[in-house]
Amino acid sequence: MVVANRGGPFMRDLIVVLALLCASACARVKPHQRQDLARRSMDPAGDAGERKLDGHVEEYREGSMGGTGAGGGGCGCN
Amino acid sequence: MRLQLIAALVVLLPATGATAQVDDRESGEGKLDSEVALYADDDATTVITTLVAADLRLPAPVVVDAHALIDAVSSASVDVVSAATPRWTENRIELGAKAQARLARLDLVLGYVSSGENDWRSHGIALGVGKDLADDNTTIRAGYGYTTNRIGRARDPVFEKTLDVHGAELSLAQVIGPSTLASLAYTVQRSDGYHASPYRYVMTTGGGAGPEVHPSGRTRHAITGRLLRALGPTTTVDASYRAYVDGWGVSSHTAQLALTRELGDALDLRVRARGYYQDAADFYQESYAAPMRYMSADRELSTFWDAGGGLKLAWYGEAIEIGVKIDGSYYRFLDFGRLGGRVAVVTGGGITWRW
Repeated sequence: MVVANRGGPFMRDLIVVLALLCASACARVKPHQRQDLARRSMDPAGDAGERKLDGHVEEYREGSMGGTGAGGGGCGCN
Repeated sequence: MRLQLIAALVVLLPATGATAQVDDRESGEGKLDSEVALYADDDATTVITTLVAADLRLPAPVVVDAHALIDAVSSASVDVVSAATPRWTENRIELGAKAQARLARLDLVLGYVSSGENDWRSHGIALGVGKDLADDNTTIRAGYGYTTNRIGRARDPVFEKTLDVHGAELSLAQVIGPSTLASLAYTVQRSDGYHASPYRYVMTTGGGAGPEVHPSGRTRHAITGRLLRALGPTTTVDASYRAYVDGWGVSSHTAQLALTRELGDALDLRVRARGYYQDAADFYQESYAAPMRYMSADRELSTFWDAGGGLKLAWYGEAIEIGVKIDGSYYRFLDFGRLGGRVAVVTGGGITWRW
């Protein structure tokens, strides 16, 4: 019977991915360039009520959870 | 109790959801949102979920909101039949409140959720903090949630168990260019206590049956990468991938792709597809040759995949938004002989009034 802790390599990979994303995201988009980012369909939060109900269905019928955060992005579209 | 685990898991959401609305609104502005969803599958399960939520921007830089959610469940699935129980019905009621404040250029969130049904009661708190950086090109958020659960068993006043869940989430959203937004979110969760179902039994090859026994602790990790990109003047693509692992040996991959097309100034059509694959928990077996330390016949801990997709149509008026959608999914269980597959449909809609 193995109930292993699998978090170690996972955390290492996560830190690497986060570092790469931060390092590659140097370009700053000015407010007047944000017409596309301000579209309602570009809102990462989307329809909060729908997301809550979708998560309701998925987490009950699947063995996984989490990773649902990360709204924002400074796009002025929240 | 079958729905209560969800309440235990999602308490993080109030802490890491969108908080920028504090800045986007004037004092007195708010909204009222009502949603209903119907889930039905060919395994004789139906769930009707109703959600009502409202929020209001106060004179201070604070938005307060509250919600009520009711699940009405009816099921006679193979799990129920195998446990020699007739069709069951139950209702779950969830009530929650949240305050979001903007202080010293920090977005702060404090939330509380309570949930109850006949054999389960839970209380959860959530805290969150977020900050916009680099001329609002970067947003970092962190959240923490704690839920305490008290578990009973119908018609058994002696049975009483507890489950405590701690969770944390860290997310980073980054504007990549004038048309592209990317994000990463990492969630870790630790739960200790009673994880099994008091109603589910495992079978042994000799014909015996006994209660399932899960490990008392579970540590779970999930990371999601997401890309939103505007394609031309009227189309947006939203792609995401989630990897998940936990200490019970369950690992999974989830991919989702959505395309939204603006059909006019006030009408959007969304098409989306989603796929999910999961490996079984180390101790999962549909039946056991001999009693083992940990035993579970929960098909949500088995090896399976599901795939689905659907359409959503949304109309955005001056003060009213209306959305309707339909999604369909097929589940394929690879080591659960009592149910090889399942077809499910989720349909619903919502209306939002803003003032």
